[in-house]
Amino acid sequence: MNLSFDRQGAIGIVKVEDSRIDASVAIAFKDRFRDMIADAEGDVILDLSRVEFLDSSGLGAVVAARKLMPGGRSLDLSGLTTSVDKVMRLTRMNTVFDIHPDLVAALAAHGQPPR
Amino acid sequence: MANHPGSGMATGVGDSNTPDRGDTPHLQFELGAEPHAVRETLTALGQRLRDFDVPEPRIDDAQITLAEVLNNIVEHSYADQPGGIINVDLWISPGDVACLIRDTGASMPMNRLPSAPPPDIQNTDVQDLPEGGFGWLLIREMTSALRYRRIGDENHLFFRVGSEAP
Repeated sequence: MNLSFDRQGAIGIVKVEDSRIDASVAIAFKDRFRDMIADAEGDVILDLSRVEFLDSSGLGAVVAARKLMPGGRSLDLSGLTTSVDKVMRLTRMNTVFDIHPDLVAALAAHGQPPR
Repeated sequence: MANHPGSGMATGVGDSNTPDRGDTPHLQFELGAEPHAVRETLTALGQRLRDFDVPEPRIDDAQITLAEVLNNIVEHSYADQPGGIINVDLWISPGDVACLIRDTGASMPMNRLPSAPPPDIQNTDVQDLPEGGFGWLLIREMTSALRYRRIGDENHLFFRVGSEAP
């Protein structure tokens, strides 16, 4: 499970570099996410623009990631592909997470202008 | 039938020997109940559906529902038999993809589909959010004609993934 970390201002960006978050990588995703946010100072955006497949195991991993954020800090999602967006809608997890169409929009929502 | 050594998966396309109506393409997959084999099967199945020009949204729905069903078999039916054999049959029609999944693991509790409602998340604190229990919700939302039967020592789960957008 490949994740990369970037920073813009106080906002951390964790990008999923794999195309699937499923049962076979759910635990690795949580472990890697925990490592990544050790360097984050504030809110984090999870960039899912490369993820084409997310089943209920993947959803559980993203919820677990949300719980790993230190108190008061948000984890937003950006760049959801069609199938991932559908899973979020059907499970109503779109009411739990702020979901942005892309990273630029997500950063703007956190007061970070485009680079 | 093409064999993929080491992955526990064989794929094949049925031909006129299979008792299908007319020219309905019939795909067959066999895998050992284990997460990496599930992933490989779903990837291969997605490509096969693409080869038959199944619309992309229907391929997405088929992959998600099959992921949920196959993961349930891995985690529950074959909890005591890692690597137990699962058979997947797909029939491609213009309006839907019909799926039959068979395994010889433990039967569903009370020999029927679960009816528990999905987790309530609306007024839930972040730390109390459920991380599981969404599988059957997704299966029910994305399929029609869902039915389960226990036949001898086999579980049979059938459903159709169609073109209706929820």
